[in-house]
Amino acid sequence: MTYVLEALGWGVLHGAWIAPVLVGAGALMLAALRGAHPGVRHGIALAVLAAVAAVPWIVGGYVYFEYAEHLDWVARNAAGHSAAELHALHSGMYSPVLSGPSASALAALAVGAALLWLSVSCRGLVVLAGESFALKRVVRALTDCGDEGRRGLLESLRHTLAVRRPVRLAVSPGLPVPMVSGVRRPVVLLPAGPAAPPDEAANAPELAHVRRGDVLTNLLQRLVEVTTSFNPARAWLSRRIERERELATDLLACRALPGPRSEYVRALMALEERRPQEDGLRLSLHGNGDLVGRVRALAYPARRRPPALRVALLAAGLMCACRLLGDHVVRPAVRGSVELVMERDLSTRIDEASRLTPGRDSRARTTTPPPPPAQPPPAATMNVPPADGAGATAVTAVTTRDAPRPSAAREAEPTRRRRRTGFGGGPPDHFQLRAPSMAQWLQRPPSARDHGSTRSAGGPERLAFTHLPLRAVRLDSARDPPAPGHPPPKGSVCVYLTWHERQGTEGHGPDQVAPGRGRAPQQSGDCPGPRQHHAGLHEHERENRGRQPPQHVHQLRRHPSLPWSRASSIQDSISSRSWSLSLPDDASSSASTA
Amino acid sequence: MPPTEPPPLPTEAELEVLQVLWERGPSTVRDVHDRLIESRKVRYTTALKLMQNLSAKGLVRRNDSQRSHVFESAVERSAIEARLVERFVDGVFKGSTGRLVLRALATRPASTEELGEIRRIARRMDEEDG
Repeated sequence: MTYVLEALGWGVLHGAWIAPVLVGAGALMLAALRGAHPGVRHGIALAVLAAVAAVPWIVGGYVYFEYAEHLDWVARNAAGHSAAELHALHSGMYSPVLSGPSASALAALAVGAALLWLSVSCRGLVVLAGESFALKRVVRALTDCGDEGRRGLLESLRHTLAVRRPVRLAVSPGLPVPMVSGVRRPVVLLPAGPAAPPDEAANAPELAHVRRGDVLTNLLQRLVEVTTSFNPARAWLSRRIERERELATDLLACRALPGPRSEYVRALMALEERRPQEDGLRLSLHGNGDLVGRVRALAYPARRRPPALRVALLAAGLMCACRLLGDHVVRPAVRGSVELVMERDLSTRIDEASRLTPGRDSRARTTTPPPPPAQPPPAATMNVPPADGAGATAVTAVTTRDAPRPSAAREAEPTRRRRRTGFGGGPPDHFQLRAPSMAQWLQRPPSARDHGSTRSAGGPERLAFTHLPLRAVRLDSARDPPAPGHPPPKGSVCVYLTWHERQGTEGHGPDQVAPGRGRAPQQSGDCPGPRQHHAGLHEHERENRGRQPPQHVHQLRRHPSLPWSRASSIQDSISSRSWSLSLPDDASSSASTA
Repeated sequence: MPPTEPPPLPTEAELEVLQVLWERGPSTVRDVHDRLIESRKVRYTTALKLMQNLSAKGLVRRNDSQRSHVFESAVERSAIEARLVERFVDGVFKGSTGRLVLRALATRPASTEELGEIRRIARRMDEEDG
C-alpha cells in the first residue's frame, strides 16, 4: 500500500507541472480555433481537462509498474535484508543523487503528497455529494408548473430541439433566473412572479443545455475539478469550458427559435432585467461582461473559418512537442528516478571499476595510472568502444579472480581512489566479487557484500547477469558521456556494458564462452582497439554459436541521441533474458592490459 | 415574546413523505407507505421511522385519538419550499453550492451600461437581418 501511495504521490507531484503544460497546449489549440464552432472548442477543452485529471493516475501507474520488477526483487530477497535496508533500497529509487535520509525524505514527500491529494479529493467529493443531495431536495420540493400555455411552449421547443427525454417544468417564486438540472430526468426550474421569463425564448437555453448533454458534462467537470483543485491552470481551463459551453448553447438555442436572432438576445436581456437585485438597484460595478460577451458572439460570429493549414501545423507541432516532452522530459523525469535503484549498489562500482581498471581506451587511461606490472590482470575485460565521435568513457565490466589487494597496495595508489562519482560511496578499485556469481553476490545483504574475490574450486568463474544487474545499465544515450576526468552528471549512469549473448547461465565452459579469448590483444601497443575487440567478440560468437551477435548493443552505442522509447524497448529486450559471462579459467589467455 | 424558531428542514426522504401528506391530507402510516411504494421500494418500517422523525422535528402532527395514528402536516408547503429555495439560491449565487445546476445567466448581474450595449447590439442585429 505504501508503494501505491508513493507512486501516486509522484504522479501528483509530476502532475503539478505537467498539468500547466497540457493546459498551455490546449490554450494554443483553442486560440488557433477561434473561428471554429464553440462546441468544438468546448470538446477540446473538456478533453484537456480529462487529460489533466488523468495525469496523476497515468504517471503514478507508470511509476508503480515501472519498478514492479524491483518490488518483486525486494520481495524475493526480503529474507536476507533488514526492513531498513529494503526501505533504503526502495527509497533510493526516487533519489538517485541523494542517499540516506534525503532519499527517505523524498519517499515521505511522495507519500505525503498522495495522502494530501487523497484527503482533499475525498473532501471535495463529499462536499459535491452534499450539493447533489441538496439540489435533489430542492427540485423535489418545487411544484410543477400548472400553466398549460407555458408547458405547451416548452414541449414545442423540446420537439424543435429533438430532445427525446421528457422534461419536467418546475416553478418557484424564489428562483432568480431559469436553471436546469437532472442528468437522467432533466428539470427546468423557472422563476415565478416578477422574475418569470416572458416567452418561450427564455426556455431555449435550458432546453439547449439538455439537448447538448451539458448537465452530464458539467457533473463530470465538477468531479474532475475536485481531484485537481490544487492546480491554478485547471481553474482557468474550467472557466474556459463554461464560457465555451454558454456560447455553444446560445448558438443552438438561437437557431432553434423561429424568429430573428435579436429575439433571443432580447429574451436574455429581459431575463437579466427581471432578475431581482439584492439591494434593489443595479450597480454599474456589478457587470462582468459575461452577458455582453455572449451577445457579441451571437451578433458577430467568427465567419472566418480557421485556416486548416495553420491548425494542422499547430496540431503537428503540439504532437511533436508532446513527443519530445515525453521522451526527454517526462519519461526521464519519471523513469530516471526509477531506474537507478541499483546505482549506488552496483552500477557505481562497475563504473568505478571501469574507470580504474586500465582498459584499452586511451581516454580512460589518461585519468587512470597504469597498474603496477606485478599486479595480476583481470580475468576478463570487456571494453565498449566509445560512441561515434563522442568522448565516451570506456566502460568495462571487470572481474578478477585475484585475491583482494592489501590495503598497503591501495594506499600506494591514491590517484585511483580520487575518482569518485557523484553518487557517493567509496567503491573499490576493482570490482571483485567474493561470490561465485554476481547474482549470488547481489542476493546477499548489502552489509555482507564485500569486494574481494574468490577463485572457484574448479572450472571457470561465471558471472550471471540476470535482469537485475542489467537494470543498472542506464540506457540514457541521450546524454553525452562525461568527459574523462570528470564525474558523470547527476542523474546519469555512464555505464555501458556489453557482453555476448549466452542464453541460460549454466553449462558454459571456457571453451564455449571466452570474451576476447584468443583475439584480445595482450599489449596495449598492438591493441586493435575497442571496436575491433568488440567485433571480435561477435565474430567469436558467430563462429561458435552460429548466431548473429546481439545488435541492440551496437544500436545503443551508435545512436547517442537514442530516444527513450527506443532505449526502453532495447532495455526491455535485454532485461527479459538471462545473460551469462563466463570467464576463462586461464587468466593468461584472457583479455588483459598487463 | 421571542420569535419562535422555525422547524428544521426535512431531508429528501422526509420531504417525500411530507409531499404525500400535503396531497392527501391527514393520513396513516399505511396510507403514506402505499403511496411511497408506487414510486420506489420502501419498507413500512422505513416510512414509520420517517414519519416519527418528522414528528420529532415538529413538521407533522400526530393524532392519537384513533387506534391507527393519523399524521398531518404541521407546516405549509410554500413555507418549506421557500426556505429550501432561499438556502439553495444563496448557495448558488454566492458560490458555495450550485455547481451542479446550469443557469441561464451568470452569477453577477449585468450593469446598466452593459444592458445598454446589449440593446444597441440587438438593434444592429435587426438592421442586419432586415
